[in-house]
Amino acid sequence: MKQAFGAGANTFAKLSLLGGGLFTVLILGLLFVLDHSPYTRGPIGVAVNQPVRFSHQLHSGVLNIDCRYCHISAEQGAYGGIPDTHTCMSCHSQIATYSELLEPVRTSYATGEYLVWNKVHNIAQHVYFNHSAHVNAGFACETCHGRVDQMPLVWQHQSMTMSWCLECHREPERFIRTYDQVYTFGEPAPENQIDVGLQLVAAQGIDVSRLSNCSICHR
Amino acid sequence: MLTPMHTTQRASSRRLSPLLIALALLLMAGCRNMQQQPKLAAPYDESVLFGRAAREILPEAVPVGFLRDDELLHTGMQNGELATEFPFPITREILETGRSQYNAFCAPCHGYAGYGNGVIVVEGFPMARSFHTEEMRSAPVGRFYRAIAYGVGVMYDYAARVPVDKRWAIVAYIRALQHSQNAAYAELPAEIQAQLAQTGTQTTEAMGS
Repeated sequence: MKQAFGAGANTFAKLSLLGGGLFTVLILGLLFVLDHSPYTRGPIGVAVNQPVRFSHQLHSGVLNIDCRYCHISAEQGAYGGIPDTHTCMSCHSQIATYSELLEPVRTSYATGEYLVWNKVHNIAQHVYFNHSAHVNAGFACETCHGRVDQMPLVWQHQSMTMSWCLECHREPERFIRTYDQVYTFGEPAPENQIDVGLQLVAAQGIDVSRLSNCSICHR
Repeated sequence: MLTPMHTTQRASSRRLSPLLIALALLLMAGCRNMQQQPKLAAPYDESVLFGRAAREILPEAVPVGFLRDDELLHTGMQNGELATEFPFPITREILETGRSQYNAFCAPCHGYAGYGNGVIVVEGFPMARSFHTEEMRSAPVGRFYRAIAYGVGVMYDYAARVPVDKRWAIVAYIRALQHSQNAAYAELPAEIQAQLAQTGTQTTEAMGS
């Protein structure tokens, strides 16, 4: 009777074991890469177009206007906050009143229609990030948002992955600053950042052992 | 008898493994679903019931903490006159808050030292008021408070951005600024006087030579 499998079948079977393993690893690897890729995370370093070409480089960088002048809810609430056009008009009622670029702002202020800006940072929705908890404890805008004072149009600066969050949640002393440095850009960290950081962490009453609990960020 | 059983076990585990992989994939798909939830996460998200996520406050509704039941604290007036006193005692901590808030909200126009020459004025905004005039030094605190809360002239109101207690902190800091720019020599602490005397001598010497 003829054999159903030839002489090479055993080798093939063994190879297929190896191949199957490799295939599984490949699929899992692809899923991991996809999960961390700009396709799902939002592109890093790519400027997002906006209905009004507002330049942070000019307003924050050149004019040195404090972040809070417009993004006040970062200090007062959970959401970072986009200013209403009343805020824009508190200067632009007098400055660049002729500017065509500002037409949507003036229209919004006059009619009460919202000026809807495009979101740059899309954090996963099972993460409950609170801006005021971070800035009031001494974590600077710059640490997560990068040199916004050098961005003509804003782009995402950090990956916003959970492992990135945990870098700081496990060792907040590496990033914490004094309160007067929270809304500044480009100030070099002190040489003894870790020592200063540990003192600041203690002074703020931050319990580092709790910072990597799931429920700190996920609810 | 042993062999068939053995085979059955192996067969079932072989049948199970694709199931396990499918389950793992499903679980991972579940993760993605948690990242995109059927909820209104951003303030402008459209809502079938309410128009958008961040709802307009209904007319005559009073949000928590916005009941204006204290004339002095909320309007800066006392018996129909501009308030001449603060609604709460001013501490060092409040002055520090005031400085932080002043530098964020007032300094762009009024300047860090309060001379009315902030960067926005340099850019073409009408000259902001200097706090270092006789009129402003003798102005009651209520006048400053009301400028922040209701706006004055071309200055828009900052009511939406600066909460009540921080408005008063800013007023207190403006008072400190005024004092800093108009302090009599005799009022200065001894060490500052000594410092000034030294600098004065140096300057005179430098000028003399």
